[in-house]
Amino acid sequence: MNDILKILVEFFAYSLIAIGAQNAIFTRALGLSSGMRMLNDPRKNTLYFCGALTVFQLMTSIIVYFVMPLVTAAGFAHLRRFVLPTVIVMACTVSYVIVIGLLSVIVSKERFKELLQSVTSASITGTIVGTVLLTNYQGMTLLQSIGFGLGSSVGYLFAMLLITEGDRKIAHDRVPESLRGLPITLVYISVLALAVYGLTGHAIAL
Amino acid sequence: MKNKDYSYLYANWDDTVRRRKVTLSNPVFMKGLALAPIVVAGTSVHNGLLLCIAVFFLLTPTRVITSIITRRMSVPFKTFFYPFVSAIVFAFVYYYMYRYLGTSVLMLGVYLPILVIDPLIVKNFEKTRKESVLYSIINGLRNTMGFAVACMTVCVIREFLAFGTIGGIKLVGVSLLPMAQYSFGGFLIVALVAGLWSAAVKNYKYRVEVEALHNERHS
Repeated sequence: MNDILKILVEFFAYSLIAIGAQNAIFTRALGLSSGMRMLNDPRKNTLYFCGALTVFQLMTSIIVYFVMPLVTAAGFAHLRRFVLPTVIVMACTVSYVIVIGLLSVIVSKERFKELLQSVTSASITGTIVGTVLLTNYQGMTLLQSIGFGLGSSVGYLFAMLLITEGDRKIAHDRVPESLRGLPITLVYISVLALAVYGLTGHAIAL
Repeated sequence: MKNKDYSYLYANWDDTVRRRKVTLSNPVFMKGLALAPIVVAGTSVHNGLLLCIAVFFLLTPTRVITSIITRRMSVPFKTFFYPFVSAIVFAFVYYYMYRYLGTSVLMLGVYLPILVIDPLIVKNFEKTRKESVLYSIINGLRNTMGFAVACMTVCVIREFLAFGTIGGIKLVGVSLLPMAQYSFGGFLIVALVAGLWSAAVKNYKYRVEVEALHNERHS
C-alpha cells in the first residue's frame, strides 16, 4: 500500500512540476512556434491539437524509453546524445501511424477528415521532442517520464488556452499597429511567464 | 534609391518580401519561427553563435536533400520525412560541433536538438510547389541569414542588459536588467525587437508606396 502511494505521489509530483514550474510554454518555450502558427490557422482546433499532443507525448515517451537502452546495448552508448533526436522522430512516426490507423477504424470518415489536420500537426512538435529529450537527459524512470510527459502536455494545453483567450481579447484597435500580432502575444506570454516564475520562485537549468 | 526602383518594388511587393528574408520577412521577428532557442538559450553572444552555427549546417543541407527526395511525396509523408532527414543531418552537425567546440555545445541543453523539428528547418514540407536545388540553396541561405541576424541581435541585447557585457567584454559594471537572462525576459525582449522591426518594415513599405505613386504621377 505504501509503495503504491509512493508511486502515485512520484507520478503526480512530476506531472505537477511539468505543468507549473517547468511549463512547456511559459518556462521552456517548447512548441511555441507551432503554437503561434496554430493560433493563426483556422483549420486547427486547439483542443483537438492538444488532445492529440498528449497521446503522442505519452506514446513517444514510452517508445523512446524502451528503444534507447537498445541503442546503448548495440555499442552506440557514446553516440547516445547525438542519435537521440533521430530516435525521437522515429518514435513520433510510429505513434502517428498507430493513432491514424486506430482513428480511421474508430471514427467516421467526416470526423476523420476534421481531425486529420490537428492530429498531423500535433504528432511532431517542440513540446514532444523537448520533453522526451529532457526526460532522457535527466535520466528519469518510466513512471517519471510518463508523469512528466503528461504534465507537459496538460501544461501546454493550459498555456495555449490562456494564450488563445488572451490573443482574442488583445486583438483590438488600441494596440499600436506595429505591436499587433506576434509582438503583443509575446508580451502577454512574457507577463504570464513572469507570474509563473513568481509563483514557483526559480528559473530552469537548460 | 532610384525612383524606378521604388516603382519596381511596389509592383512586385510580395515577391520582394519573399526574397528579403533578412529584413522584410525575417523568420524570427516577422514569422515567429525558432522562438524557443532564442527566447530561452539566446542569453549571450557565445550561445547565439552556437545556435547560428547549428542552423547554418542544418537548414540548407536539410532543405536541399528533401527537395531532391520528396518531389513526389504527399504532405503526411513529408511531415515525418523532413524531420527525419533533419535529425540525421543534425546527428553529424551535433557530433562535429561537440568534437571541435567542446562541451559548451552541451550547455545549450535541449535547445540545439529541438532545432530538428523547428518550423524554421522543416516548415517547407507544407509547400506543394516543387523546389529546385538551386532555389533550395538560395532560400536556405537567406533563411539562415535572417535567423542569424535576429538571433545575434537578441543575444547582444540580452547579454548587455543581463550581465553588462558583450561577447564577454565588460562594458558596464552593473546588471541593467537581470530579468533579461530568464525566459520571461527573453519573451519581452524578442517582442519589443519584433515590434520595432515590424514598425521599420511598415515604414519602409509606406515609403515605397508613396515614392512609387509619386513617380507614377510625374511620369
